[in-house]
Amino acid sequence: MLGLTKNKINELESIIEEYQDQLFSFAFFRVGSYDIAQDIVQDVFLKFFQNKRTLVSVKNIKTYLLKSIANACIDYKRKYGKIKMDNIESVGNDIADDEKNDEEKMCIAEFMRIEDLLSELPDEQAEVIKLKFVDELNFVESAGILNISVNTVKSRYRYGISKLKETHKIKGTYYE
Amino acid sequence: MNEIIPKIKPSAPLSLKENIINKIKMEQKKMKKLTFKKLLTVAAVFAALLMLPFVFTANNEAKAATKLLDESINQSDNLKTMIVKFLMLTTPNENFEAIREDGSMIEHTFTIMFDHPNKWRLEKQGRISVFDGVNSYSWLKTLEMKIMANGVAGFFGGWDKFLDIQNLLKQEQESAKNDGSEINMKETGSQIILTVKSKAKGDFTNNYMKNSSIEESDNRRIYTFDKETKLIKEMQIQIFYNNSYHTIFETTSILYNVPVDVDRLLERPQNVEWMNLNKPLYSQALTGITSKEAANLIFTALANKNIEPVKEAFGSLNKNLTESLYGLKLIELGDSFKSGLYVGEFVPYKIKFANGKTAEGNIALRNDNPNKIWIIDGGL
Repeated sequence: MLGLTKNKINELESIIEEYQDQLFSFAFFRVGSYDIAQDIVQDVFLKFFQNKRTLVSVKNIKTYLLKSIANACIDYKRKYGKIKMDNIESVGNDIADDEKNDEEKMCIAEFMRIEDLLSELPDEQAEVIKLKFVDELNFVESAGILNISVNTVKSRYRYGISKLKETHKIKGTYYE
Repeated sequence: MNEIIPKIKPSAPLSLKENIINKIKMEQKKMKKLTFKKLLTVAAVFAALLMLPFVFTANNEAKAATKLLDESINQSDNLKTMIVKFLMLTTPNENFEAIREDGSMIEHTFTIMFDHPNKWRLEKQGRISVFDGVNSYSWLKTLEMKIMANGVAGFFGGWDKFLDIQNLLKQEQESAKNDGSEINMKETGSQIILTVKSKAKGDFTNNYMKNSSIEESDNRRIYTFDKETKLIKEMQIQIFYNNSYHTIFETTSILYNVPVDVDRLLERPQNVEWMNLNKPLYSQALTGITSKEAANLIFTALANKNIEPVKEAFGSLNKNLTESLYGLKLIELGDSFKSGLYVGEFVPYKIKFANGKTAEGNIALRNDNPNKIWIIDGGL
């Protein structure tokens, strides 16, 4: 990281600007907290920039960053425990209400609703469904992030959707 | 069909990019310093090349915060007295810095008289500490513990810095400029809310002291300023544990320039014997050994019901408590460890009391006194 020129800083700024919303949203819908999502995104960017070689050697920056965020979220959950539905209402509640703006409150409500919806699925199926509907990624991108084959992604998706239909949590047709 | 699609998605906070870039610049600054040191040892001749000035450009929020703090500091120059009432998650008798997750929100009153020198009193249900401008005193209301020291001692749990408004704001100003603290500022009506977010400080190779104090916690400090006077109106501190931030400190009132009775401010028990912590300690037995060896001597003395050979280690420890441990049997001592910002060391122990009950804990020992004598600092 030593010796980042002004041009390099500008390049980094452009990368942050391009991906920050998507990465922040990705992290938020895994951890359910603005603050933690912000910390995770910051740490991932810092690590990314710490090795300036990554700037030239990474072929697909978006997949690389999403994969890093996904891993950081897994590490976070491993460290602090999986968010349980019992505790979910306390997510963010310790912060004074006026500290949170309306967008944050609505996002937390959406996070809780989606966690509830997917709560009965195995983690790997829930994750594939989140990648498709929450993060709006296609199966190829999801496979890259999860380090599995596209076929495995598709099969997890099918099993997940079918289970959600069985439990009447969703209706209608979900296309691959 | 749309059940799984979020109706709203969050946008990254506006400060995210600035925070990342500033951290990168700070890292660069650190790396430059490290490299500078390294190169000096290799070839001093190249050092000059590295002496390029580094200009740290604070982000807009940090700049605005610095301006606010400057103005607030100027305002606080006019203060004569200040009374802060606050609640903190702790227990009635604990040291003033200690956070106890199993405690409750205990009411504290901190009264300051801005003078030459300043004088103050910090008080809660079971414990009081006073600085009279010359000496510091601290005692439990039961009088089981009464200690004093010259100058401003560490009896105030850091609140003397935190609640001495001028130092506090200067301290935050330094944080905003120098360390990795993140600053966020927003204006709402007649208020300005400043949030400073910091990571836990200290060595947490062993997590024992994590979250035991504010500095040793991932924390955020939320200050509410009056927009017009720039004086602090409210303050809240939250620390991060069990997946979320929890409020462990909040002011219930802050009063400025109200009359303070100096006699009441400095009132302390009379006709009692204060243990002077500045009195030099001497003990051949407790110096030049490891903390584990010191712990062994201490428990052996308690087992033998004779603490005379190591009495210096017991310092301000209450006599009743000490005697209640007489006759214990030491079952096991673990390897000592350090944790957080604590200057001393912890030694894990398992003991059996005279009544047959067993107990486990970590005895805290420190030897940061001039003669390097190990003394008990807690954990019994």
